[in-house]
Amino acid sequence: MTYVLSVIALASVFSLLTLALNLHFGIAGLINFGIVAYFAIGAYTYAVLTQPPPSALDKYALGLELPSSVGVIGGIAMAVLFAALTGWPCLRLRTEYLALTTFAFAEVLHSVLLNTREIGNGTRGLSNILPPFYTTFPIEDYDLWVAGLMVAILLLATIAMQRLARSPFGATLRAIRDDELAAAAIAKPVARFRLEAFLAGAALAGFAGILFAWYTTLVSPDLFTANITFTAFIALVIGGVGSNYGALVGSFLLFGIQEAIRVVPLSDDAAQLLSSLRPVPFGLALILILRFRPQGLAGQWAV
Amino acid sequence: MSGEVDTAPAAAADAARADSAGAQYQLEATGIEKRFGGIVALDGAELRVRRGTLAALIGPNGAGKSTLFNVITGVEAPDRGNVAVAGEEITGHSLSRVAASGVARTFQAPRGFASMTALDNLMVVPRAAGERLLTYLGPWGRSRRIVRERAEEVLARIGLQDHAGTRYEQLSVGQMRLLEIGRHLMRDVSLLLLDEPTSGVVPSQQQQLGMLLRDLRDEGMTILVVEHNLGFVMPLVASVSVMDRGRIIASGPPAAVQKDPTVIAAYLGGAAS
Repeated sequence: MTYVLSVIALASVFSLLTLALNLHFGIAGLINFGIVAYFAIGAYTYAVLTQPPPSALDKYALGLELPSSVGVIGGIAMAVLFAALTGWPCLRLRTEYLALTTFAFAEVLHSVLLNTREIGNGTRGLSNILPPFYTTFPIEDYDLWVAGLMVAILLLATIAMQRLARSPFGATLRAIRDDELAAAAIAKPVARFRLEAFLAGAALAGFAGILFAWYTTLVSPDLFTANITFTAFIALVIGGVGSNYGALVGSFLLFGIQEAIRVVPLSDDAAQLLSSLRPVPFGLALILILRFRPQGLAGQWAV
Repeated sequence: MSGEVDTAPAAAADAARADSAGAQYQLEATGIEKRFGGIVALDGAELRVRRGTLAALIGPNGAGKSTLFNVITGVEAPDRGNVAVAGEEITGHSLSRVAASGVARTFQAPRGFASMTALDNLMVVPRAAGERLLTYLGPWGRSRRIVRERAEEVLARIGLQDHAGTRYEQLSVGQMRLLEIGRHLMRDVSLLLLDEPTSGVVPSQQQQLGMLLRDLRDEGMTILVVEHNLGFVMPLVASVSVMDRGRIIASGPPAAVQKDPTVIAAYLGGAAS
């Protein structure tokens, strides 16, 4: 039961990240191959703002022990700030170049986190993060409450993103995605709309990062690699690019399968063999989807 | 110089009339030069279109007509020269800024929003409530209904009322071209530039297009058409400018221009090469 709840919580976190990616890629047409950066910034900022000051063994410089609400706001704000800094030069670029530069920014951030102890304790990471509402939620049902909280946040975010996609703002973003020149010809300030979409998506990705920190109670550089970005892309393609519900369907399916495989009872030898084959079903699923249902499982709900 | 579209090789005569010209011309492009590497696409092109008239820009392939459109609308920046709309300088402004100052253009290959219906292609045009990131959660339902009514009127006007729910991709080329004009009818536009509006369009739709353009002119819009289809354009317009090798070589009423020996030479030369 606890295990199922933890899978639900993790899948909710990744659904939130995939929703953010859907705003960037599915609705605004911005190929962001570095969305993990905004996810990591949210998580690290939350950790730094809320963790206790460093003890003798820790090498990190800052632990502000602020309330988690400040951590949440600060984490989102930092993700947006980083998006503004990276987005301003990147968004002038054409799609493929945007993909490359966002990827590069994420790698640079990863490298910085890995090599500077002052921010996040280097490779060891920060492990003093408290799970959310630790003293408020009843301890005996704590996992249930956390999973419920994550699902509730996900539902609110989905409603907000669905409203965005259907709003005049979302319509203009889709118009720019479909034909940038035609959008400019009807006087849409293309660069400004792109930047707004980029910032909004980064805010959501940063929020997802905070939830991830709640879930793991640990942030370290090896948790925030390009793997995260590509997991979100795979989930989005499986669910349906452009569809908010698809982001949820894809993420839950991906994590559901992954974790279901984990609990299958196996001999040690077989387990070792199979664990190295774990990426295979995802690759296979991706190929099958692209071949037989390129619009994704929930593609009919694309706005 | 009596034609509706003037070319002014004599700069002195031009300067003398400059004061009144700002008032009477909706579009003035003067001394436009544009090179792509070693190729001279525009070589001092001069084009003026009187307010409230229908005018045509014709010329052989590669004469620079589309490049001139691109320079006027900010898709390309000119190397030299000035562009003014209603007397206001817009040289070097971006496409969206030029569009915001009341200039509409269509493209040689029709452009539109492929994933949207015909109706949504129109509804996306006006600056509406809820179009900014910080306002999208707010109430925009009512203003949306007003925009929808307007879009339905425009669809009826361009004859696509039966295609409101058709996805853009599924429209014919002719319908796409009409819809492209329709998008500009959703906003304040004083100058309409059409790049080969009849190519790929069946004759019945060409007729409809001609009527629409006449109506728009009667409502005070200034329209300039780049067109190869002389049978369509000559009866429609009050004046014609002929372009060849990056320059305007003749202009005036259609009947006079068609007899102009330089024009005939350019067309025959163009056909031969």
